[in-house]
Amino acid sequence: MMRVLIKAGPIPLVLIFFASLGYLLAAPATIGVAFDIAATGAVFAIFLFLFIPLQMDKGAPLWMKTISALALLVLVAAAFFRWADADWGRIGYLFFNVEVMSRPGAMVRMLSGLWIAVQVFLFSLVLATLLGMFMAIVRSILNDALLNFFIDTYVDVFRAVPPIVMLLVTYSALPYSGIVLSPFATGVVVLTLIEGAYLTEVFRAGIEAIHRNQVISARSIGLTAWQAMRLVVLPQSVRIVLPDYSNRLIGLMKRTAETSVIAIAEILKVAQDLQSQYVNATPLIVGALLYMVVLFPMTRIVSRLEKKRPRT
Amino acid sequence: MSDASDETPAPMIEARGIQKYFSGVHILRGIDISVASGEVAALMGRSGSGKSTFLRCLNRIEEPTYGDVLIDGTIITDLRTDVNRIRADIGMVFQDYNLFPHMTALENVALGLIHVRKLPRSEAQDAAAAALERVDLADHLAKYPQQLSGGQQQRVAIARSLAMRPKAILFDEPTSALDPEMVHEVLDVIRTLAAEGMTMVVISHEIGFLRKVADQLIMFDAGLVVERGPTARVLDEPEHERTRAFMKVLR
Repeated sequence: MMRVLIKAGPIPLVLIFFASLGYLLAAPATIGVAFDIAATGAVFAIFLFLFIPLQMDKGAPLWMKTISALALLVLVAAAFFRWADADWGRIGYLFFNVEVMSRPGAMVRMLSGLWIAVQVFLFSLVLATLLGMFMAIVRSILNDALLNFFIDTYVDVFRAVPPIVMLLVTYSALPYSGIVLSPFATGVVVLTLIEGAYLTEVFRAGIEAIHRNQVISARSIGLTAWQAMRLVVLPQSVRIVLPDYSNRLIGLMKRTAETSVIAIAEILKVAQDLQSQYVNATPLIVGALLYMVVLFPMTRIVSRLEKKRPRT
Repeated sequence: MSDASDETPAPMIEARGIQKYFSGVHILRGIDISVASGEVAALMGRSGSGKSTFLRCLNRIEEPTYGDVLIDGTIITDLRTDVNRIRADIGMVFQDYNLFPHMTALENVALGLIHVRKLPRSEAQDAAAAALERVDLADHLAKYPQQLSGGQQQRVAIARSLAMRPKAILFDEPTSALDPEMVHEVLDVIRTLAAEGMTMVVISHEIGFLRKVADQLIMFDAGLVVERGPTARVLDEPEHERTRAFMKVLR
């Protein structure tokens, strides 16, 4: 039965889609709530009955899968409209309001927020990479019990506190120590310390993945410990570390949003300011889109890297 | 160093009372050896007898707990000696080749020349190519280790040591990881080196090869030397019961 339906192609799916949509949008709810719930459930059951096998079928063309997925979204929206008495006009006005975003300065402020977020990201990324690299290398080369204890403590502490808490504590407490940093500097320092802790672990794993005999072999030629690290271990670690590293990198870009709590005018902060100024949530939607603009290419590159992960 | 006795030059490699503890376990219990310049010494003994650890003490890849190692008359176990300088002068070849997988054969061999001997890159590459030619790998300069057979990889490892113009080379079971048909190509290279007068310490159980190449044979057992002497004598008329038992196992 199911095979027959799949072989019949998209036509039954399309028919069921329009029938369902028609019911959800047009049928009067006069027969009774119980009937309405049952009917709505049936609409989705029938649709999913065709939709799921289609998605799981490896032979089905991509466009068919995409369109049927969009169709499902439309059905969900229609059910939302029917059941929640959604007011499309109001939703459009509050969340997708072009007029609000075309007010003077709105988009400029959003874009400057993007630029500041990217700056926070780049500064903390570079500093955290250096910090993590330094810690991991010191740990591997010196391998001193006391130093290892300090490094491990640092890693454990900074991985155990939520970034947002660390940001607020640092931002409000630091001035009492006499150190006054700009919000931007505070944000970069806190994100660097947190990210550095994770990257220490990432790099350490990469270094330890290289067999000890590689180091022995390098040292037996007369290379110093640092030369063995730089010329033999690190070049081999890079390929092992790259997927984990780039995943951290994506996470860091997302975590720049948390610096909004210490008044850094990055995307989220600007969006929230505009939201309260205009009494309209469109800036938040635009902010989400700005993150996607940066992150989507990054995630694509990372999944490419992961496919290239060396077979060991 | 005093040169009072010209007729008996200092041995190239000398170990005096080497002892080694590994987390409380007494691995080496006082070992002395003396290898003259141009001599080949073979170390034998069952696994766990300490021969491999001892070999690694000779260039301080392992630090001996007690005892001194002298290379060409210099005490290298002195904390003031530059251990990297010493290691550059003593080649080492491992059972598992331990080539650097991210470098071509040529780069593997040139690495030490560039970064330890501080030769200019082009000069280092010429010297590396020459060393690879000596082990009959002139056609494989640009290949990566994983593109080479085990025997070829081990010859690259030998070339890597040779290129540094070492005073001596240490071999840690250089053919144990090889398929049987590749053993001879590596042994041939070592035999040629012996004929050219290279000082070598070799851990090996290839009796036929040792008979031709090794000048002295040193039997290890439980962290001690139980017997030593000219190779043929120790192989044919072992005096110690441990040596006799071991020879039986080998045959």
